[in-house]
Amino acid sequence: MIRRLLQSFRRTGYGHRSSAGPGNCFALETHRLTVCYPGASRPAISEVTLAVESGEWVVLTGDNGTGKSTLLKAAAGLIEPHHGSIRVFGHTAGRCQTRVSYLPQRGELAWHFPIDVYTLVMTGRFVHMGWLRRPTREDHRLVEQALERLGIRELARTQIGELSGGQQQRVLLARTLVHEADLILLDEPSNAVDADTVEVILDVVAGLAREGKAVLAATHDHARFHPRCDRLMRMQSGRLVEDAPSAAAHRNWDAARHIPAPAAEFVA
Amino acid sequence: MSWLFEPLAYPFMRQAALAILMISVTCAALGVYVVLRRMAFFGDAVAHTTLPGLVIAYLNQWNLLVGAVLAAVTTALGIGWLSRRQQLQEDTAIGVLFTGMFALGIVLISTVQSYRDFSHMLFGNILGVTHSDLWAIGVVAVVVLGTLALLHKELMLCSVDPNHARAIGLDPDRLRYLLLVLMALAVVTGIQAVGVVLTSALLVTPAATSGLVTKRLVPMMTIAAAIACASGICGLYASYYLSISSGGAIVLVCTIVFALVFTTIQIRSGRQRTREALSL
Repeated sequence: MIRRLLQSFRRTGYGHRSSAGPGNCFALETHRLTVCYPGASRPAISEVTLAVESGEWVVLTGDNGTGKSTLLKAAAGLIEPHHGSIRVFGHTAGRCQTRVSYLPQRGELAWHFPIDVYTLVMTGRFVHMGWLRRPTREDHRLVEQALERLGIRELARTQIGELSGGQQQRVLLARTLVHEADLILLDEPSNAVDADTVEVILDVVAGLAREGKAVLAATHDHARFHPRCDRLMRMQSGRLVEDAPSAAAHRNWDAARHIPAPAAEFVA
Repeated sequence: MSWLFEPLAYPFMRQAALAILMISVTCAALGVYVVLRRMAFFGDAVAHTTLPGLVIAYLNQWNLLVGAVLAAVTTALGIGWLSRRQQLQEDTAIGVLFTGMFALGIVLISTVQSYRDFSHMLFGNILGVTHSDLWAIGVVAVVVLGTLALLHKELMLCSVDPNHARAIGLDPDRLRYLLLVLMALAVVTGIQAVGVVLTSALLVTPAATSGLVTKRLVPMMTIAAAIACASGICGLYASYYLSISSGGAIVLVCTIVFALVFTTIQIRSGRQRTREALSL
């Protein structure tokens, strides 16, 4: 009786485990998405419509406070939309946790917590384990593989509080890899990290896109991402003002910085 | 060696020793989360807010533990509710409820003729632990330690990265409530040992001491439990041989251990810095 109860509890996992959505759906699709924070005088993002396909690497750029992180959080199901819709593989955001991986900004983690790098990377497998389960041999293999891929194998037993900024970012990306998600949301993955780490991050993200994963990376440092990504989107004051293939978007963006002009029209 | 076994010849001392060992392990293991999540003020507040529950239970001749648990859990949930989604800062919510509930306790005490009846609540009386108290302390220990073991990875993740936890379908707010309720239960057992005023020391001091020694989660819990148990037993013996308050003695030993470890580490790191400066 107790064993049966435990088994049914273990099967439930943490949340929703929708695997396949309706056919031919986008990895991420928003329609007139508006998100407001409680007590804020204006929406953090307003009327944003976009779509990201599987295998596509999209960079979301814009100055600080333009709503990039809010959009990623909404896609990860961390914030409820105030208006409009947001769908992930055809499901409401937050309804297919096993297929979406969210890499937060480094400052959002409690780095003083006494765990090592290996354990933090293993937390990326928790979504597949669910309640009461311990890591399997396969989980350990994936963690070791991810540490190897990010070049941080020798840091496995280092306490997370002792890492440099670049090492922290590599660890978070390793955790994202072991999640084995199909939509990867990266919030400022290259912020304040060394040039070598940026190259490693770019290589890994390009590899993920080649494997057919959809990647949406928010960064204010679009110059480093531009040569490698497929599309560049730009946000301004909570609105999506540009959406174009990366090379063209980069040219437009540079021109806009030299010639003060009203926000460009949204290009579908 | 007779000094070691002599106190244990008395049944009340054996019961007290067993009780303090169970309370120490429970409070110390949970205390690691209290320290790492910076909830020390909460532990102190919950201990103080049990006072009205204890007084109401006493006046109605109920089991005191039941009264304390109800008051502590109500406070824990109240603090969690007031500070949810950061509408009110947690320390502000604690400040409001803590003082309000403690004031209610004082008002209720003042309705009774003598303050002396409540001294064991304020300062603890581990030597007066009964069989039923031992059972209650044991049940709380099993519940708290069992929950910490079963939900180890979830509690750890919610402490390190609540956003990731939420993104994979966990609810960090619910786990925080659970932690608050576990703290309330642990604090109530701590009151048996050292009283309302000092019980947060059992949560905070051993965990803070072990945090100076190790930077790994599970060893930190183990070392904290060992320090708490040793301090509890030493405090109990000091109380027996020196005829001093058991609650005060237990907390004082905990504090002395902390001071010794802290000083040793300071001296060592000072020497290390000197060696490094000389080698440059």
